[in-house]
Amino acid sequence: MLSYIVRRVLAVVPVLIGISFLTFALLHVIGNPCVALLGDHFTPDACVEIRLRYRLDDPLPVRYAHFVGRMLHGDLGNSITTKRPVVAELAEKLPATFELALAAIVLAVLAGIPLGIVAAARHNSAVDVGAMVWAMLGVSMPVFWLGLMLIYVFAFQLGWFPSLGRLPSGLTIPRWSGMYTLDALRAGDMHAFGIVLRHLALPAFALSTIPAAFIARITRSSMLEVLGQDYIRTARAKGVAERAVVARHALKNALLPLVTVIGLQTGALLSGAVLTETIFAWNGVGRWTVDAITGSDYPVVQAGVLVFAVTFVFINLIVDLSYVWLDPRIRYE
Amino acid sequence: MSALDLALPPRPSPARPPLRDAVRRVRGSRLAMAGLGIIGFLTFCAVAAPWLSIQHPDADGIWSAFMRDAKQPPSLRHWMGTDKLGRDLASRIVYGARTSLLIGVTSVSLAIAVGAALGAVAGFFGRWVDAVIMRLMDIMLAFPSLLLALGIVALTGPRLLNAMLAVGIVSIPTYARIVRASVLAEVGKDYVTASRALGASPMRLLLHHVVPNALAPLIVAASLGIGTAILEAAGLGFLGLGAQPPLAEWGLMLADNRQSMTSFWWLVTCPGVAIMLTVLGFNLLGDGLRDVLDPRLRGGRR
Repeated sequence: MLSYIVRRVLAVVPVLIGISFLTFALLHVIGNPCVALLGDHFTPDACVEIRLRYRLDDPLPVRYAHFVGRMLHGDLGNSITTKRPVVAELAEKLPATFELALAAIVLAVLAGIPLGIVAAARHNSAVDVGAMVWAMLGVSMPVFWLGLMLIYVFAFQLGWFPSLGRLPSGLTIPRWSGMYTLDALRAGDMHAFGIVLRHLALPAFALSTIPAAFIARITRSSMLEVLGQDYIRTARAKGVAERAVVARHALKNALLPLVTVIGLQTGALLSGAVLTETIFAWNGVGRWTVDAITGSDYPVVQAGVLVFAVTFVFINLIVDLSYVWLDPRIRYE
Repeated sequence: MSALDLALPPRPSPARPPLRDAVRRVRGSRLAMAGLGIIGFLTFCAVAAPWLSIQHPDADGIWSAFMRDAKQPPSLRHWMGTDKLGRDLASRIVYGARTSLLIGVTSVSLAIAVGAALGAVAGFFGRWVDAVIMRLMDIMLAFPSLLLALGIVALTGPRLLNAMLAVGIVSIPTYARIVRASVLAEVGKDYVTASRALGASPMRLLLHHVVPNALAPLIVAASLGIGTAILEAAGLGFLGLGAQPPLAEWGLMLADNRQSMTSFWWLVTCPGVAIMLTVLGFNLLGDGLRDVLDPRLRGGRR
């Protein structure tokens, strides 16, 4: 088992190298990096400086090694638009994205799993059909459109939630983690906590819809498979109440495939975060990356793509490793 | 017929021609037929767009008396209303079906062509060729798909063609994996070894033994893939990184009309419903086909 864990962790290395190479290529292989890095501030003098700083006159492999070296020292260059170090900006935006993604995945699990269980337990009932129709619509829904509709109904028409941003202007919360919910709780400011939650509600709901639909579908099919097995029939024959059969006997075994799905959906969530953040003016990495693409701020694009890819790789790693612990039948030689 | 053929046992003739059998089973699947119905309707809209629409999708009113038509609520003449430039929304939605179907079919065809070739090469040659190709696929899969597409568009510039390429490239690994798995599954079998011993070329092995076995999962993946491609391309369009104005593309239309949403709700409702319906059609078809064609992938869904 230990050797499996070691091999799985080591398998991450070539992927990380590949990611670093692709992000490197983003800036250096195509086009003139001087133009890309300087944008409107292009002058021949500035270009000479850039060529020295990024060692653009060295052979490609040397440049790549240099790029990786700088990256490992936490230097991703400076943003063209703001002139600030990319890493400093990233540190500001990353907690916002994590807070949103975390809230969405929690919502998706809380909605998707019970829905899937009920649908499987009452197979072919109206509840089942309704849940699956909803799930089918959910996976087909463009998240950016859902976001707009939520804003229209719950912010403009009903006025229950704010439509944009993470906080109203004027309100500040002492910064600790950068996740405003945690920061507000830590400061003991329940009023601010409520406001933060209300800002979080719509984007988190929009982002959670697709994963919730996927999770509901997989929970249902996984439950149906388990409910058809012999030991379930034995339990029923013994006279165990149906509720206990579902909750105690079936659920545990049905949850395993869900770990994979939740892991994969977290990846889809990162894609969705790009769109959701743009719609709700959520000041996170996704919106930052999109703005950088439209503004040709290549160092920022590089950092954004890098962060999302690395996060995704580590989520997959955690999912694979969690199997070892979750399913004692799986023994990797 | 050569003498060699006599050495082989006669081919078992299936009770029913497989294609007709498959068609019969697809007909029996309500999911697949519902999906096909939606796709058929959209294809009809796309083909008949010039006759279904009351004005050219790009005909705006800036330069003409049309301007007083701007932001009209749904009516008999404009039954989805008009946008801020006085363009008839229904006409643009109908033309948008062309754009979306084009995006879906083109990008998935590209992905299948490249992915199937890579998967076949990886499966046949094995060893380091396999290792290199599949590690490359793993790296591509390491990026959340929209992010990788964003990166590609960042490199190549925001244009519809680039968005289509990006969306296609992102899904190459899916098809490479399917074809590689089919190659590996078939190559070890006795009948393929026999065929190879008789001197069949790799190309012949591929076309006669691998392709028929890979077809079912490929068709299922392609159907679901077209839906995903349309969704992703609409997302890129919405972000301003795909189709550019004044092209009638649903994602772009949502972005264009976003500012007017508060008082003109139909302007964002209709394009969104169009996207959802299209993606739903391909998802239903894919799910239905999966149940019919590929029982191995069925899982517990029944």
